[in-house]
Amino acid sequence: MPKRIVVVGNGMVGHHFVEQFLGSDSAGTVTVLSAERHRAYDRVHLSEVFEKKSSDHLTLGSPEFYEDPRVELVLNAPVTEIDRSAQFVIANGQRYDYDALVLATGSYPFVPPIPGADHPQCMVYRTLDDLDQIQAQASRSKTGVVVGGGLLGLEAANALRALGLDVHVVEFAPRLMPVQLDEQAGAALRRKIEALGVQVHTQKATQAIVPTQAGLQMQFADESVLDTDMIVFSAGIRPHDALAKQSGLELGSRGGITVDDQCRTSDPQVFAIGECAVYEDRQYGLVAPGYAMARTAVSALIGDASTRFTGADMSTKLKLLGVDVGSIGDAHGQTPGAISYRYENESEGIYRRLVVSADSKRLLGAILIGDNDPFDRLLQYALNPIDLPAQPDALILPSAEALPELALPPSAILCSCHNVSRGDIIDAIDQGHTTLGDLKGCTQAATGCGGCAAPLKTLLEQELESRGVEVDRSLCQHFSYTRQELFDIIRAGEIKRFSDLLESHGQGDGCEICKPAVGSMLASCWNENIQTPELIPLQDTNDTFMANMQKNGTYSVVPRIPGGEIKPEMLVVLGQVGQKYDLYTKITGGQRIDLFGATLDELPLIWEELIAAGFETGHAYGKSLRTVKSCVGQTWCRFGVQDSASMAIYLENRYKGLRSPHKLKMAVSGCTRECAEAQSKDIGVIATENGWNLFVGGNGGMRPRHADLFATDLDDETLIRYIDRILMFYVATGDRLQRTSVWLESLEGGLDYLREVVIDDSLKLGAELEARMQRVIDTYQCEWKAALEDPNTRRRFRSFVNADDPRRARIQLVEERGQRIPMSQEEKA
Amino acid sequence: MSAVLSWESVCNLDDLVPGAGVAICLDGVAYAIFYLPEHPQQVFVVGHKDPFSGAEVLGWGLVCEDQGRYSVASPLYKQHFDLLDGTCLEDPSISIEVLKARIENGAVLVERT
Repeated sequence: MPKRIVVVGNGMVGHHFVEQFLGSDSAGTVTVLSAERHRAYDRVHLSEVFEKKSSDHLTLGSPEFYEDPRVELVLNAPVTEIDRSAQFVIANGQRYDYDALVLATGSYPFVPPIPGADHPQCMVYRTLDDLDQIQAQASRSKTGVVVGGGLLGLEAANALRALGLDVHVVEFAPRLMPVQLDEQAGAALRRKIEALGVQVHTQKATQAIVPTQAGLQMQFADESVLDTDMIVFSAGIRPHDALAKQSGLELGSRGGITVDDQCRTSDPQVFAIGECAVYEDRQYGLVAPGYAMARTAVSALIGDASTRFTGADMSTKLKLLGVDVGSIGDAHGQTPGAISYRYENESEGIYRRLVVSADSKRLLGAILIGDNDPFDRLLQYALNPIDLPAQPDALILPSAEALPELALPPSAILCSCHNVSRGDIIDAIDQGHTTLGDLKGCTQAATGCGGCAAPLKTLLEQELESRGVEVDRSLCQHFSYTRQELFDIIRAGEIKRFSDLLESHGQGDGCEICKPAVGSMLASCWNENIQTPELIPLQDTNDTFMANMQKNGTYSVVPRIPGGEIKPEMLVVLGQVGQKYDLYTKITGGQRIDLFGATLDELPLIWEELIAAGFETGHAYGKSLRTVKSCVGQTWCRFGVQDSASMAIYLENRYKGLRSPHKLKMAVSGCTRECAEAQSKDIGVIATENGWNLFVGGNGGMRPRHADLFATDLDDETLIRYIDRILMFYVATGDRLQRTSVWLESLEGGLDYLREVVIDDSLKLGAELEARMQRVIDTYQCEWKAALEDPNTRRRFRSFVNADDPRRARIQLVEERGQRIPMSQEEKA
Repeated sequence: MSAVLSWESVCNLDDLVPGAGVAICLDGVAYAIFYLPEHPQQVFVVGHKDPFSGAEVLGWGLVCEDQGRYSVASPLYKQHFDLLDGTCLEDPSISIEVLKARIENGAVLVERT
C-alpha cells in the first residue's frame, strides 16, 4: 500500500482525486503540487466570473478542505522534473518523494501556428489568470474575436459578451460545434447566437494577424479581413504531457499520456487522470470522465481492482450564450444502418435529431438545440438497455400529452459526475435522507455539473409519494396551514387580528411559533403600529420593546444610519448618549452603531434624545429590513462608476419598516470591486458603467451563500421596480424564518422562475406586488417616535409596574477595555 | 410558628397587558405577572428571573398554549415554564417560584407571607 502520494495538478480532476482518496479513509498522505496560484476551481463555469464579478463561488471543496492533516497543497509549484527510478519530483527546486505519482496536469489551449498569434492582444481562455488578462484587455477594447466555434469557444464568446464587447466567432469548419452537431443543428444554433448580436464567421482559415493603427487585423484564406481589438483563441485543447514525455512515459499517437483501464501509465507507480491522459488513444475533454478516472486511480491505489475506466459517455447538455444545446452518443448517425428522425421549428429556434439503431429498438444518439427538455429522458434511453417506443419520433415531437414514465433500472446512473445511481439515491432515501439538501450531502449527486438536479428532485418526489410520505407543513399545532397559505388567508379575508385568524382557521390559543409569525404577516399586509394593544402579545420581546435583548436582560439600541452615512454632529450625539447612560458602544457589521446595556426604563429616555437629534429606529430588533450597506461610490472613489451611497440611502429609506419572513439585508457597491459586499446580502446591487446589476439571495451567517445575478445594467427605475416585486413576492411566499437564500432555492424553477415572475410578469402579479409595497412605504412611521408620543405605550417601558426605582441597580457589570460589560455567571457567584 | 399567608395588592389591573406579561418587585424579588383575560384564572404570577440565564426577563416572554397547558417561553433561550406550577417543560428538574394571585376591584392581589 503506497504511503506517500504526490499529485501533480490541482484542477477539477486533481481535486476530485484528493477528495475521493480522503473519502476512502486509506492510510497515506497526499502532496498536491499545482502550477497555478489559485486552489482548485470549477473551470466549467468560468464565464460566471464576469457575470458574478467574483470567482469565489467557483472554488471547489469547503474552505477547510486543504487543511486536512493528510493533505499538503503547494501552489505556484510547477513540477519541472520526474525521476522515476528514484521516485521523486522536483518543484521550485525542492524534492518530493513519492510511492505513487498521479499526473493530473490537464490540458492547454491550442493556439494555431498563425503568424502574429503571439501578439499580446491575442490570448487564451482557460484559467482564472487568463480571465484577468482578458478582462484587462477588454476594458480597453470594443470588439473581440473568438477563434474557435466549439463548446469552449462559445463559452469564451459568452465571457466577452458579458464584458460588453462586440463579439465575433471565427470557425474553421463549415458550422459551429462540428464535433457535437450536424449541419442543421449548427445552423439553428448560429441563428440563435446571431440573434443575440454575436457575429459568426464559418469556413474561415486565419492566415495572419497583423497589428494596425487601431488594433489587429485578421486576414483569412479567402482574402477577407476582420478588424478587432483583441483575439481569444479557443480552438481546442492539447494534453499537458511535456513532463511525462521528458520522463519517458509512453504517449498516445497525438500526444497525451497513455493509460490502461486502471489509469496506470507505462510506469506502474505513475498514474495519469483527466485531460492529460489518453485511454485507447482517446482524450476525454469533459469533467465527468475525468472524475471517473480519478475514482479509478483511487481504487487501484487502495487495491480495489473492480473499478475500471473503459471509456466514457461524451454526451453534453449545455447552455451556451443562453441557448440550450444537447448532444448524445452517436449524434452524427455514423453507426452502420442507423436511422435518423428530425424535427425543426424555425420560429422558436428548436432543432431535434434522434439517431436510432437499424431495428429501431435502441437510441444511439441525439442532438438538441433550443430546448433541452427531452435531454434527460433521451440520455436514459441511450445509456440503459430500454426499448424505444414503437414510434421513436414521439420522443422529439411536440405533443400535448405527457410521455409515459420511464421504467429505469436502479443501476441507471443519475449523476455521472459523481457516479451516483438511482439505486444509491433510493437507498439514501431509505436511510432517512428525505430532503434534497440531505440527499446532495450524503450522495454528492447534483453537486458536480448540476445537470441532474431536476431528475434528482423528481426521483425524490416519486419515492416519497410511493412510500405514502406526506410532508406536514403546518406552521404549528395551532394552524394546519403553511405560512404562505396563512398569508393568503389573512390578505383575502382582510384579517387584522390574531384572535380572528385563530377563530376562523386555527385552534387553541397560540404559541411562540405562530404568534410572531402571524404578527409579522399582519405587519407585512396592513403595517399597523406594532404597539397596538392587540398586537403586543404576538411580539417577541425585541419587537415589543423595539430593542434587542442581550444575555443579561438589558437591551441594545441601534438607530438607523441609512447607507452608513452619518453627519459628525449626529455621531457626537451617539457618543453623548452612550456616555450619559453608560452604554457599551460597538460598530456593527451593517455600518451602524450599537449601544448596549440599556434597561427597559432607560429606552424611552435614550430615544427621546436620539429622536431630537434626528435619528429614527433602526429595526435591528425586527424580522425586517436592517441596513443597506454601501461604499462611498463615485462621489469620492476613483474607481466608482455610480453613486452607490445615494442609491443605498434611497433603498434603505424606501424599505425601512418592511416586515418579512426573516431579516433582510442589502448592500450597494459603486463598482465591481464590490467593497460593500453586496453579493453576501439578500438584495445586492453593484454598479456598472451602464447602470446596476441586481443580485438576489445571498447571506452570511451559519450557511453563507453568494447571491445569484438576477438582472444586469438596470436603470434606477427598473432596479427599484424589480426589488419591490422580489421583496413582496418573498413576503407573500416565503416560509417562516426562511431567508431569501433558502426561499430562492426552494422555489420550483429557482432563479429562472423568479425572473419570470418579476421581469416577465408571468403571474400578472407585478402591479399588485408594487401596490402592496407602496402601501407599506406610505404607512411607514418611526415606531419609536410613535411610542414616545403615546402615554399608554410609554407606560409599558417600566422595569417594574409597582416600583419607580430604576432597574439599573440590579444589573451587574464589570469593566473591560474602558467600557462596561455584563458580569459573567461565574463572576456573580 | 407557621408563616401567615395574606393577600397583598401589588398593582392595578390597568398596569397589566392583556395576553402578555409585566414585572413587579416585592421586597427586592422580581416577579412576572401575566394577564390572560379569557382564562378562568386570569392572572398568573411567577418568578421573573430566568434560571437558565440568571437574568430577570421571564415577564417579557411569549405566552404559549399546548393542549390547554399555558406556559411562558423565556425570551433568551426559549425554555418554557408552566404558568400554574412553574415547572420547566424542557427540564422538569428545574422550576420557578409561583404565587397565587387574583383580581379584585381593579387591583391585582398576590398571596404572600
